[in-house]
Amino acid sequence: MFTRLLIAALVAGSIYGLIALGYSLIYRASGIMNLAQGDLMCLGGFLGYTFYSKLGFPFLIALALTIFCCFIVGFILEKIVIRPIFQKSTTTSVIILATVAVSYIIQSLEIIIWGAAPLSMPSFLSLKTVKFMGVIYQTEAILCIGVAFITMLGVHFFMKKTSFGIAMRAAAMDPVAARSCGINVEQTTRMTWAISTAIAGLAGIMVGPLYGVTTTLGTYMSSKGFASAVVGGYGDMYGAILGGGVLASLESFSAGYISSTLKQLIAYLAVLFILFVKPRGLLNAESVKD
Amino acid sequence: MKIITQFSRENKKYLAYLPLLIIPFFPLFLKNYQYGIMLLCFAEIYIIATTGLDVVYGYSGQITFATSAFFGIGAYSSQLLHVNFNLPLIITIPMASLIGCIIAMIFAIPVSKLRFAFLSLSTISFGWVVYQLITRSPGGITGDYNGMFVERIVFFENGPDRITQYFYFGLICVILFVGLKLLLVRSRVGRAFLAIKQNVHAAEGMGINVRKYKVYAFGVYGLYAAFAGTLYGHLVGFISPETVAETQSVLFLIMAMFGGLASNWGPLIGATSILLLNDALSHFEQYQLLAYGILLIAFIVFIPDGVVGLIKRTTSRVNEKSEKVNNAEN
Repeated sequence: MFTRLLIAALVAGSIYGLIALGYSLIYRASGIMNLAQGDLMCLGGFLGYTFYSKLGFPFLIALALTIFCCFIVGFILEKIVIRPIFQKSTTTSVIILATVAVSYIIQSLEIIIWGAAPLSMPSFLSLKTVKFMGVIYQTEAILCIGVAFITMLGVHFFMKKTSFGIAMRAAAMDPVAARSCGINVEQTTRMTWAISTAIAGLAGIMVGPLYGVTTTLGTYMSSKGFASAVVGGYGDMYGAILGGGVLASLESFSAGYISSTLKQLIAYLAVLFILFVKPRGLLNAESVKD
Repeated sequence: MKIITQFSRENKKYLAYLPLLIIPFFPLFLKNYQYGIMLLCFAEIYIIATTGLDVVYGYSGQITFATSAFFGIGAYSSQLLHVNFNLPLIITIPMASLIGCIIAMIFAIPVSKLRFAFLSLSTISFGWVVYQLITRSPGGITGDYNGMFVERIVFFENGPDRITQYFYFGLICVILFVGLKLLLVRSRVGRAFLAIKQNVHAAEGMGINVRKYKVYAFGVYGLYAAFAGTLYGHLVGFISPETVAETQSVLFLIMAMFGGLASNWGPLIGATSILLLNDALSHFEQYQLLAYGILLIAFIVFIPDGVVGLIKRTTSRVNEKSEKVNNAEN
């Protein structure tokens, strides 16, 4: 029972963590909360469905295409929507409202293009189920954890070791100083957005076989991802992942040991508790705007 | 008293308010268009809720995604008190509003030290907690996901129909609640709110007890939102968890921002416009959300400070130009 709950927590946690990672990266880079992150994840799911189920591309190609498309979407989003509004507006709440508008637009486009009914994505692996420590799981679930892990390692490596990653972090920390070092802050911010949306798209396509592809998943995941990011420490990369794990564990274990109807309630009460007691999050993140 | 003398000094502005006298006659114009009167009732309800939101967000700078939660708390509390304790609606409505107010104030105590992202998350989480409590209530007293039928108010058995009666009742409520808010924001308390919004540290330095005033702001907000919720429930006759959904909270924020934050007319203009907009867009079906999103972005790009802000900007520009002309002539 415990392992089953743990694996469920890890699966959900890895998805929440990936979305939360996007949130934190964008917050660090632009200082705003992108409430459209969950919907971008769903977009990844829809694109994956199109490429894989509809057009019949082999899975890895579909995956690469989806990630690439989501990357472009993030790029365009920053360039056309966020930056102009940023330069125009004084309050950040207005920009957040803009991200809400973006999420509405993405949701409605999804409904227009793919219809409102939930789509199912078939399994892309020949191995349907896997037995691990005596319990049978869907292979995709285990794969999810693996992919999330690799992605996080990738992001870590990119951010810490490559010069562009370091430039991105510098620009996020202090745009003026970064500019004086010759870093093109506009470009790095745009890339941050593009990477965040690409990660969200990856999460979406991984989640496809598990949860199905629907538009309503977007808002749900948005809140969960946001909660994870804040719990772990908003703006902190590792905090996002940790937060995802913590939130998912809270949900999973309270569902298993207490009551599955109350699991959401317990999880959100715990989020409130953490916010009240340790608002900086578990990893003590510094707020960008305070 | 000061407010009254202030008003009489600005004699000319009185004329601008005269068209408002036509409002009580709306039901006569819309006699055969029941739906229109219903829309006006909704406008009244949303105006009250948005006014409360304006106090906590527009004046005090505390962004909150919990408006629909308090809305629901008001609606559900009033009906539950009425049904389970056999209290007449005239008692349950104020009680429910007070419940909303108290819950908001209790919530505000720990929340008052949170800023920005954390504040937003705490209000979102609060909204989720309320949603969960409503959909999984002990013994299903709230009807869980199915929602609950609510007693409809009838004021007078004879006379005009129920909805028209409701319109006048709502109108009185709007005048009362908005009037109270206007008095509040012109007082010391209101100035403290604005100070907190501008710069918390400076406000504290001036001796303002920030936590106390934030709690007050949330209290007013909870009161107004819950009251609006009770009005909604007793008008429509049915409430369900959808009314408490987070998306509704965003709608309230849009109403407040569209009208113009921290202004007298902002909430009224915002609530009415967005309500009418929603209604107009509902004909588009699938494209409704798309149109909504696009309009929202357009609004943010072109009039980020709301309709009231736009009016202020244009009138100040007109005043500047006329002054220039006057100076040039002299």
